Amino acid sequence: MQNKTPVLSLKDIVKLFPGVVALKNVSLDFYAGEIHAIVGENGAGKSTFIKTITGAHAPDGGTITIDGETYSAMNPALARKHGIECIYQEFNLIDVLSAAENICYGERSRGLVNQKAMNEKAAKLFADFGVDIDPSTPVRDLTPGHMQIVEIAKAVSKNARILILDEPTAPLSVAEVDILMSIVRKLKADGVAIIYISHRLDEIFSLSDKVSVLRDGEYITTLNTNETTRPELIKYMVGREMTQSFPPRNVQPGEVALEVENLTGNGVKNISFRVRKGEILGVSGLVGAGRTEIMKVIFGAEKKQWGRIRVNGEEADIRSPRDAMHKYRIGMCPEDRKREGCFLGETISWNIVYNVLGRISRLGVINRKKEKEIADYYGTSMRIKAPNLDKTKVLTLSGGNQQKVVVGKALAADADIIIFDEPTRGIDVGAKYEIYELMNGLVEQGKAIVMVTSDMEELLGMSDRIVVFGERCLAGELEKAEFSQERILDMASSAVNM
Amino acid sequence: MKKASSILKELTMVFVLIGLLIVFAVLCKVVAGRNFLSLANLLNILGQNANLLIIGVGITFIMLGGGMDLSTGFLVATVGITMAMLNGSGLGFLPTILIGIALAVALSALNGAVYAWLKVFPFIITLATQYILNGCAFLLTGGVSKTFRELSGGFKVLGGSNVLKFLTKLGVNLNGVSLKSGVLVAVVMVALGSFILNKTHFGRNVYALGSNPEAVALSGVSVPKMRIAVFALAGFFFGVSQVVNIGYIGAVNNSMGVGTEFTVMAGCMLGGVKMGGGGGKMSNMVVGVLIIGVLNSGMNFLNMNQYWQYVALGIVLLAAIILDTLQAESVQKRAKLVAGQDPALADTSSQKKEA
Repeated sequence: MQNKTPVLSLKDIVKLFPGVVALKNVSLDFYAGEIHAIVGENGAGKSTFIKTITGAHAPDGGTITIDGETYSAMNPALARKHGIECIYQEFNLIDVLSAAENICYGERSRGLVNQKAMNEKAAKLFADFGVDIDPSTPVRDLTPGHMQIVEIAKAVSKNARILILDEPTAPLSVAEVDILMSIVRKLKADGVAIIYISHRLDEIFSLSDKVSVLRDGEYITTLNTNETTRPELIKYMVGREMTQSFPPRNVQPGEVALEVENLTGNGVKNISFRVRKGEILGVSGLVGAGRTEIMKVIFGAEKKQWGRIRVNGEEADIRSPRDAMHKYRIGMCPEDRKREGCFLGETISWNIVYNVLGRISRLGVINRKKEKEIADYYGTSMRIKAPNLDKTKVLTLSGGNQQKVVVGKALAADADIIIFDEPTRGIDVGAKYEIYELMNGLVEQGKAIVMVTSDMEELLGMSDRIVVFGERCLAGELEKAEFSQERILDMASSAVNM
Repeated sequence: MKKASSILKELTMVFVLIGLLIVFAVLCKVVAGRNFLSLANLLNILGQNANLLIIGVGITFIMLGGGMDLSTGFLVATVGITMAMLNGSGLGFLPTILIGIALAVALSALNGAVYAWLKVFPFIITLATQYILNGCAFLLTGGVSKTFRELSGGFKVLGGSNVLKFLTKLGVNLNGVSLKSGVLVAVVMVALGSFILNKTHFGRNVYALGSNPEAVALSGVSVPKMRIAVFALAGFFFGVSQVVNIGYIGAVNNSMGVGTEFTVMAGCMLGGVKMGGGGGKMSNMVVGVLIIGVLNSGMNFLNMNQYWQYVALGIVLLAAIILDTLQAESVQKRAKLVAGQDPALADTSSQKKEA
């Protein structure tokens, strides 16, 4: 098998983003008729790597060789010409069109569509796959599993020779996963090179021939799947050295500030945990595990189906973020800073004081002096680098400084329980350290912090306790003495899908 | 340097307004031999546009809050005919205008309530309510067009009287110079709107709502309530505008005020109030509405055909939109250059797009 020439070969791929090296000299070869899995933690560079192949990103170094032709970068049209097709976790279908129309979408035609020919073509593909889907059904009436199959059929109908599946099973049920896997094996037998990305290690062991590990943008190793084991794989995935330092803190956790019990809603089931005053609870899990979703339920931004939330030992009835903030003094620093965290078109001061306007207004009129005091205090203590807090719009700040504005805005609200969702995403080490010091200061004041993070070092370095989310449910809880990268990743990737 | 250029940019439309005045002054002198820049004519332009400026305050709130309103014209027509009927049947001036303004608030709040409830862009909602209000304005008078001329003097005092009249008693010859009382009402309303927008908690929330409603919801503010409140407040200004307009015209019929919404929206956009939220000030609206007022007046001075006037207005509006789009693009480009793109966010945002 190894004597064949690879259909796709990437050499020394480097991708730089401002302040971050996303891929460092990654080289990988892919062969026809082989299922090659790529694993790694959040942020290991899997997505960036895939986007290099599909042409969504142009690498800053290295070469891509396909069919004997070498390129310095792909582009989507070129990728398609070479038969590279990619299927994402999110569907790329037009939901009002039928399955057949979606499969044939984008094909050259002479102005008219031939409904019958399209249906026949789709029916043949579905028959090959051994699935029973009516080609004329509008996609929106299909189950997620069938939508995924339509996606694959669409790729196959374009003569895909290299098929990339990026977390394809995330939206599927167990039975649907089995069907998907049998289709993937069939394509392999037909000689398609398959690149399979999944954080479900079980799937990787049952499906792939080879598995490559990426970590922090670096290529670690490639193993034959039948010669490796789950613990070995996890060891390669997490085997990083802890290089970052964290500010020390000295706090004795007090009474329980927030407790949730069997909380269910927003697609996440039966979550239970508690946070004490003076404690930072780390919330870990892979992307899509439902961490942000359940935090939104706690904060009242999404509906709770059932379960209990207790604040300071008393049952809390939180129906809106307003309740959370004003009745129960819960604060939120949202994950998606551009969409939910701040007002990009407004100034830094404007953003920082937004949550506290009610407190500094009399008869609805804002007290400019108090406003300036608060904005200056948080602007300075967050060390936001900008020419002028009152005039500089958030839009023009760097990502790190935007994040500081979001954190400052959350802190200004002066809550007792603060949920930080990815508080240091995309910011430099110095700014991170400043945010950690601020968080320490908060717990020293007796506040409780829930910190959702995908940054393993931050999780281990800052948390007093960690809860690990599996797929939309709780996978486990670790006390400080039990912290280890391996255990966390093992828990996160082994939870069963319902 | 940077400051100077940004101030210049803010004043672009003021320069356009001044430029227009100069252009018309020259044209009118040369072509028609008339003095466009006379005090009488300038004050006349203000008088003609007083009610539009007051409507503009309301429209600005709606636009800054991320909405739009197509029904304003028919709403004020309905309010106008209601006030005329009440007043005509013997109700005093003060109760009449209070009821009229309250009705405007209620009708506009209804627009806002449907918007808050259905969460669809208010274009469709106000398109529908526009038809309903159009029907109502005529059904109130039994389905036939009617004109009311017998109205309380209060209307004229608030909208159509000459504030400078006292000068004649002092022996000054006004020579046709007339500052209509409606202009003063407009000044007060613009000041009030400006105060609410800049100095109050509510004003901040209007900007926030137009800028990022998701962030507003996560900040503990009820988005539906805010939407209703913004429309209700706009309704207040719509009501006041019709009181002034009745005083200025001196009569009311069933379609008085119809079409004003487009003139005012065009003015707002010209001046720099962004459609769909995202910035603008009261002063932008004032400058924009006045630009249209000056254009109309100037073209009338030149005896330009009415239909050519429409064409000219449309071209000016298109030019303003193009200018605005180009500016927005350059701002975004600059922001991207400064902020860079951090990989984590770039990844999630592009994945969301693919969805």
